[in-house]
Amino acid sequence: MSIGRRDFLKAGAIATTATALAPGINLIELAAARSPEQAASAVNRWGLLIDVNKCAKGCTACVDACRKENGISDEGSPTTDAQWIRKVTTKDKATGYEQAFPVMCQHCEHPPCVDVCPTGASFKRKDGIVLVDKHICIGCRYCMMACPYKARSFIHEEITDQSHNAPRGKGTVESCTLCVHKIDRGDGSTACADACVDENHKAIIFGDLKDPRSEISRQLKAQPSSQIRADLNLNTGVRYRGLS
Amino acid sequence: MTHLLAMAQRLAGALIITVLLSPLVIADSSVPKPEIPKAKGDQCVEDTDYMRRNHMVTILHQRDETMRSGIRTKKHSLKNCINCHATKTESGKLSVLGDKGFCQSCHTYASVTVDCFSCHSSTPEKNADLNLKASKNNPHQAGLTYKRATDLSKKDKKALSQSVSVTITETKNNKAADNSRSGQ
Ligand code: SF4
Ligand code: SF4
Ligand code: SF4
Repeated sequence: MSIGRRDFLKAGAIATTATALAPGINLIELAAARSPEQAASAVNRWGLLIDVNKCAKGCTACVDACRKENGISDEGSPTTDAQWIRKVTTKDKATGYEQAFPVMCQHCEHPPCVDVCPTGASFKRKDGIVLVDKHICIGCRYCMMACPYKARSFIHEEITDQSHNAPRGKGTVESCTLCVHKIDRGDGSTACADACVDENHKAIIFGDLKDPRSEISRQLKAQPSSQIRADLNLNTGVRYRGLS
Repeated sequence: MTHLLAMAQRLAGALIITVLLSPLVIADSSVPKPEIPKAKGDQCVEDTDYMRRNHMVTILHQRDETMRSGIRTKKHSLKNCINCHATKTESGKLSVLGDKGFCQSCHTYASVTVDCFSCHSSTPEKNADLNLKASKNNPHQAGLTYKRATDLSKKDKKALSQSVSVTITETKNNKAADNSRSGQ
C-alpha cells in the first residue's frame, strides 16, 4: 500500500469528523450517498482486491457480467473485439503450477495511458478512476501501446444498441470504467464483483482504498497483496492476493 | 478552349435564369418544416425557444460535468432528454431517431449531422423515472434539484407515491457492499 501518508491522514481526519458529527455513519456510507450534483472527490480512491486463490478455474462469471453490464458486443473479429476484463492464466515453468485470474484496467495512480494521450481524452478522475472521454478521443491508440496491462481496446466497427450504462462507438478507445455509473449511483460495487459473489467465489472485493475502515483496506492491511508489475511504480488501484 | 468558353457561357446563362426564377424555385423545392413530436410532460426543462437555440450548449456543458466529475444531475442530461422525447418509430421501437423522431426530423431539416447516437443509446431507459407529475421531483420545473429515491425522507416517499404515476424504488444494497460492512 503506498497511499501517501498525507492522503491517509486526510481520509482519517474526515472519517473522524464524520463519526463525531453523526455516530453510526461511516465514511463508506457517506461516500456511497454522494448526491447526483456532487462531484467525485479525492476523499475516495476506488479499487479492487482480487484473491487469486479464490478465483475458480474455468469460471468466467466476472467477464460475462462486465459484458452484460456495459453492453460489450462481439463484432465477429476475435483479435480486435473489445475486452474490458479477461481471464489470464500464468504457469510456473519450473513446477507447472498454474494460476488464473481476471485482469482489467488497473486504474493506475500514475497512468501511462494518460501521460501519452495527445488530446487529454485519457484522464484520471479525482477518485482515481481512469477513463477515456470518447467525445475527444481521436482514436490514435497511443494509450493502448502505453498501457502495460493490455487493458484497452479500440472499436473498429460501428456499434448499435449500446447499453445505457456505457456509451461506446467506432473510432474510440475504451477500457474498464470500474463501473463508474454504479459508483456514481452509490451501488458500492462493480458488476464483476457482484457476479463473483453470486457464484459464491467472493474473489473480488470492491471498495475505497482511502477509507481505512472499508473491507478492502482492512483486507489489504491484514494480509500480503501485490500489484502486477509493481516494479513500474504505477501504484495500481487493482491489487492481487495470492499471486505468485 | 472554345469548348470550355462555351461551357462557361452556358453556365453563366443558367445562373442568371436561376437567379431570376429564384423566388419560384425556392417556393417549389422548399423543404417541409419538420413536425416536432410532442414530448411527455407539460414543459421542457428550459423554455422551448431557449432549447431550440441552445440545447447543444446545455448538453455539452452537462457532458463535461458528467464525464469529468461524475456529476449526474438529471435536468440537462441527454438520457433525460431521450426519456421524455423518444417516440415510436416505424419499427415500433421508442427512439429520438427515425424520420419523424424528435432529434432526427429537425436535424435533417437543418441539415446538421447529429453525432450523439453513434455512441449513445437513442432509446429511453427502461423504468425511466421521469417523475413528471410529482412536483417535488419534476425535472421540468426549473430550480428544483433531482433527488434519488434513496435520498427522500419517509414522509416525502409517501407523499410522492400517493401522487400519480410515480413508483419509488429503493436501490438495493448489493451483496458486495454488505460484505464490506459486516466484515465477512
Ligand atoms: S491499466 Fe492501462 S489503461 Fe488502466 S490506468 Fe493503467 S495504463 Fe491506463
Ligand atoms: S486513442 Fe484516444 S484516449 Fe488513447 S491516446 Fe489516442 S486520443 Fe488519447
Ligand atoms: S469494474 Fe465494471 S467495467 Fe471494470 S471489469 Fe469489472 S465489471 Fe467490467
